[in-house]
Amino acid sequence: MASSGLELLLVSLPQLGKGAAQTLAISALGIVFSTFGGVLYGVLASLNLRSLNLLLRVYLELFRAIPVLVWLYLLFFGLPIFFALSIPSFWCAVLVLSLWGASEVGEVVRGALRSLPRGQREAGLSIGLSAWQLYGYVLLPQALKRMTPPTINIYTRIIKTSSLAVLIGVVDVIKVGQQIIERTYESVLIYGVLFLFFFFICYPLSAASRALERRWTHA
Amino acid sequence: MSALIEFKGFNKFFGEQQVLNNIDLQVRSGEVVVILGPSGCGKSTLLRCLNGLENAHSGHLRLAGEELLAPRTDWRQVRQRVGMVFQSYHLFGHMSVLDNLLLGPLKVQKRERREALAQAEALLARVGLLDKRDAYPRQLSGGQQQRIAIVRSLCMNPEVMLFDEVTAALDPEMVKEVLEVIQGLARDGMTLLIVTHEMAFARAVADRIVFMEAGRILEQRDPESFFTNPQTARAQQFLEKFSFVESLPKMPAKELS
Repeated sequence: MASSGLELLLVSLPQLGKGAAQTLAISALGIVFSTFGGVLYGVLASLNLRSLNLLLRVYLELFRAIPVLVWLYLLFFGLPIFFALSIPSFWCAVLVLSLWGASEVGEVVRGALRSLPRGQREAGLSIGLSAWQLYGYVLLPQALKRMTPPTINIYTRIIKTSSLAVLIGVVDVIKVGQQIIERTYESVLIYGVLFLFFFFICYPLSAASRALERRWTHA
Repeated sequence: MSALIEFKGFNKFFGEQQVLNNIDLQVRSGEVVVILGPSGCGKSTLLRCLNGLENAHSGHLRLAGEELLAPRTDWRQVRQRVGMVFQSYHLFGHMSVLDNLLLGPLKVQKRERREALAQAEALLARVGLLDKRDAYPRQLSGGQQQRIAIVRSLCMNPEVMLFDEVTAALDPEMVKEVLEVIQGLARDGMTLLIVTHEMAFARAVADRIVFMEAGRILEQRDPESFFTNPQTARAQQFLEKFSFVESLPKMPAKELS
C-alpha cells in the first residue's frame, strides 16, 4: 500500500502539475486584474461623485450579495443564451474572479484613500498637481501601506475561490485530482496533496500580510 | 496702479449658509494684507477661494485682471502663481524634505532638476533648515515642518502667498521662527494675504488690516489706526478680547495653609 501510494503519487504529480498550472494561471490573472480594477474602483470612489458612487455601490453590492458560483454559472451559461457570446470556461473564471476581486480590493483602496488626511489632497492641489499626479505621487503611495496587508488576504481568497472554476468545466488542480481518485479511489492521498498545494501557496501570503501589518503599524 | 487681486461683489455659500457676503477687496502688488476676525467669519474661506480649493458662487475675482470665476479658468496655472500655506502644514509624509520641495517644480512646472534643486537649497538655507534636506516630515518639529511648507510654496515662484493661520497649531516657541520667515518675505516686497490671530504680528507686518465678521468686511485700514482706533463697535470688542489677557489684574497672594 505504502509503495503503491508512493508510485501513484509519482505518476499523478505531473498530471496534478498541469492542473496546478491552470489553477495558478487563473488565480494569477484574477489577482492582476483585481488589483488594477480595485485601484481604479478605489480612486473613482474617492472622487465622491454622486452618480458614479451609486454605480460603484450597485456593482459592489451585486458581487457581495451574489455568490461567486452563481456569477460563474450566470456568465458561462447566460452570455451565450442572451448575448450569443460564448467565452471559454478558463476566461469566464478569470473574468468572474477579477470582477469579484476588484470589488473587494476596491473597497480596501477606497478605505485607505479615505483614511488619509484631507490636507494631503489640498496641499497637492495647491502646488498645481493634476488629478493624475495627485493620486500618483501623493495619495496612492501613502495609501499603499494601509491597503497592502488586507489586499494580500484578498489574494489568498481569490486563489482558493478559483477552485469553483471546476464547476464550469475548467480542468484545474482539483479536477485533475478528482479524475485520479475516480481511477484509483485514493481520495485521502490525493486530497492530502491538494491540501498541501493550497496551504503552501496561501500560507506564505497570509504570513507576509501579517508581517507587513506588524512592521508598518509599529513604524 | 491696478490691483493684483480683486474681489468684487463676491459671494460664497455652504449649502444655505452664506459664508462670504458681497466681498470687495483689492490687493496691490507687493502689499501685505492681514485678515482678522472671529472664528467662522469666513476669512479662511476667502483665502481658499483664491486658490480654487473652494468654488465661489457669484461676483468677481480677478488675478492680474484675469477673471478667475470664468468656467475656463485653469486652476492649475493659477495655483502656481498663488502659493498657499496651511495651518497643519500638510507636508507629504512619504517624501523627504527635498522631494516635498521638488515635486511641484519638477512635475508641474517641468523645470530642470539642477536649477530647481539649487533654488530649493537656497530657500532651505534661508529658513535655516538646509541640514534637514534629507529628513522626513515626521522627524521634524511643527515649526520646522511649517517653514518647509512655506518653502514648498515658494519653490513654485508664486506672485502671491496665502497664509491660513499658519502658526495656530504651533507651540509659542515655534511661532517666532515661522513669523520671522513670513516677515522676511514681506520685507522682500512679496504680495501676502495673511489670516492670523497673532495681533502683534499683524500690526508689525501689515500694510493694511481687513476686519471681517459673519462673511462681510467691516473695516479695512492701516494697522496703526485700526489697532489704536477701530471704527466699528465689533472690531473694538474683538480687540478688547485680545487685550483681555494682557491687562488681567494680578490676583492678591493667597494664604495657603
